[in-house]
Amino acid sequence: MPRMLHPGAWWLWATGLAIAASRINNPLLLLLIIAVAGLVVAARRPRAPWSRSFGVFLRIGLIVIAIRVVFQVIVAAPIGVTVLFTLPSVTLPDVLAGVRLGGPVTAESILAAIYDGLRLATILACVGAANSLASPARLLKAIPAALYEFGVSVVVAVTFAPQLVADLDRVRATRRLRGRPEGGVRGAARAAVPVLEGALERSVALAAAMDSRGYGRQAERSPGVRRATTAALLIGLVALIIGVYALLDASAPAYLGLPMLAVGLACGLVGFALAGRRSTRTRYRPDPWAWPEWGVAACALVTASTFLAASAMGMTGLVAPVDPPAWPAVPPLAVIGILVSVLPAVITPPLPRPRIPVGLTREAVGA
Amino acid sequence: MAHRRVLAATIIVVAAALAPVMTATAAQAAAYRYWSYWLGADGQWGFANVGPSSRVPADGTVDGWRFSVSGVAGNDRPSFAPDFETVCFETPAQEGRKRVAVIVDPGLAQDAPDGEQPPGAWALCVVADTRASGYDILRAAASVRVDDGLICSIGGYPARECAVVVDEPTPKPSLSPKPSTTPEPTTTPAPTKSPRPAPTATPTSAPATGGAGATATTATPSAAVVTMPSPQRTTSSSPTPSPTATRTPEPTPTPSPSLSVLAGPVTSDPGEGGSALGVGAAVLGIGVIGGGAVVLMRRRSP
Repeated sequence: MPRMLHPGAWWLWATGLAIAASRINNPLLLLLIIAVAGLVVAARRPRAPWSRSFGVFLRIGLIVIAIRVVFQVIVAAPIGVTVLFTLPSVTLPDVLAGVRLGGPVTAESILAAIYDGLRLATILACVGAANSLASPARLLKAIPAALYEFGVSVVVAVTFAPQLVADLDRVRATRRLRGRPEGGVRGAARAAVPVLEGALERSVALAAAMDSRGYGRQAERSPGVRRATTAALLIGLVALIIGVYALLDASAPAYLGLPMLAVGLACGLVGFALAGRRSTRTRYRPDPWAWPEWGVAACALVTASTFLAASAMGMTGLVAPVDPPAWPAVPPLAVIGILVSVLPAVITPPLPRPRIPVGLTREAVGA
Repeated sequence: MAHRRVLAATIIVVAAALAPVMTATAAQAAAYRYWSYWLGADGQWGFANVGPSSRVPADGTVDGWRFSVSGVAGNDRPSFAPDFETVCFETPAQEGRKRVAVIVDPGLAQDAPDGEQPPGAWALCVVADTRASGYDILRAAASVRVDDGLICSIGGYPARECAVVVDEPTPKPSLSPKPSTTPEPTTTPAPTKSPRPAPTATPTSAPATGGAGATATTATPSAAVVTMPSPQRTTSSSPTPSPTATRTPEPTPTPSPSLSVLAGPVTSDPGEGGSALGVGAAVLGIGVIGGGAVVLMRRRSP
């Protein structure tokens, strides 16, 4: 039965791959993660404007690697002894921490910078893959009722940007038809006023439409429930902050870490449930969470836990040697851990065929 | 009504902000296990306030490195006096280059990571470009593993970890070896053969690859005891077997209180490397998966 997978499942899958990428430095494993993500995206991405984001994120990743290398060359202290070339160096005064800019550039430094940049690029590719696969509108539909106002504002913001671009195109087209200059600073300034005016009008129209459909109505709640909701959310948030801080700071006492985190989570969940009662909406055709979603989530769990355990136990080969440079290793367990995440390309249901409006042939829509 | 709510919220936030501060006094200080950088001056060690990359040591100075657990008084600096003459005795000064003595002390056996044995302390006279930084000097003396700007290991020790947090500092400062660079009186005066002939028998200047190069210096026969506690270390040898030069074949559980002056830089095998064949196979696999993705994407897009 062809259908769209739950967007949350795709985000879980991408998070699993991103966790794996964050633990390693080995370029072969990182490239394998990108290839696996690309294969799943190619197999299961829907025909929609946002499904092109994987390629966009890959390009952003290339820029990230380039920036990382440039910063390594200019700012960072060199690693290793194989000098490729020497830049003129400037030592900043002590007020600016006496950092040395420029100086000798070593092959080991460049290699380390490329590996480091590739790790960030891989994490970006995972985010791009999730963006390509999961529909943002469906993801927003699936968020809990307590975050309802937040979801509405995000929906408005997300739909605002494409409309702005469309408005800009329209205004420039009319200027062109009237024989006025459309490029340059002058043209952009002349186009700005009608575009902003259109955006404001659209916002007012959207607010009116939402109000007439009952958005923003809240269920009656007693003052006690309201106060309990606020207290639970506040205490939960504060306890979460303390717990996360204690977990990250090794010098904090042990009783502040996990117990505080648990208290914070419990309070937060209670607050969420109470806050969710305020909303009286029903959901139109909610996305099911069936066995394909469980399967995708299991793949993500296997991949992430493989790498978390491997790096905690100090498995060799996750980090490629830089100084002295050597061939990166290919640990079989890590490769299997990544290849598990290629399964969603097969185990998820195929996409529904795009509906073709009456009067159009299959060729006309390119299907 | 409204101001009471604001008051309650303020109390909650203030209490939450104070809670970590109040409990922090009960927190015990965490100890780190790492290589620290020391500068020799007037026969004393002083802690380096700046990193080795931002410091250019002068000619005739001593750089010290010590692997230890932080927070133990008296067990933090190299166990040997920063004596430039002992290390660079046989290395002649060169025009336009500087000599820096590097003393590396891998510390005590009880501070070592699980399953590892600290190699013995060693020293090397590095002849380098005058602009060479402390890191360049150290890198010329030994292979160095760097991660996120931290010196993780020197000469392959420790093998894997990098400035980890240890639970409690080992409170045994008295066990550190007595600082001395003078040789212990040896009981075996018979000359023993070196295990490997040194590549350079006489002090020569190695060609500098990166502005810093180590020249081979040999131990003065009367000033250094050559110890070889670790099999991965490069060996030092004296060109002429002297009556006092000896070698201890077995690794000692605690570092011997002697400093071995090495002839060449300490190298270690990368350890985590793979083979070119494995890399080729992996690249092929990645190419197949990535190519499949590209083909699939082309076929499905109009």
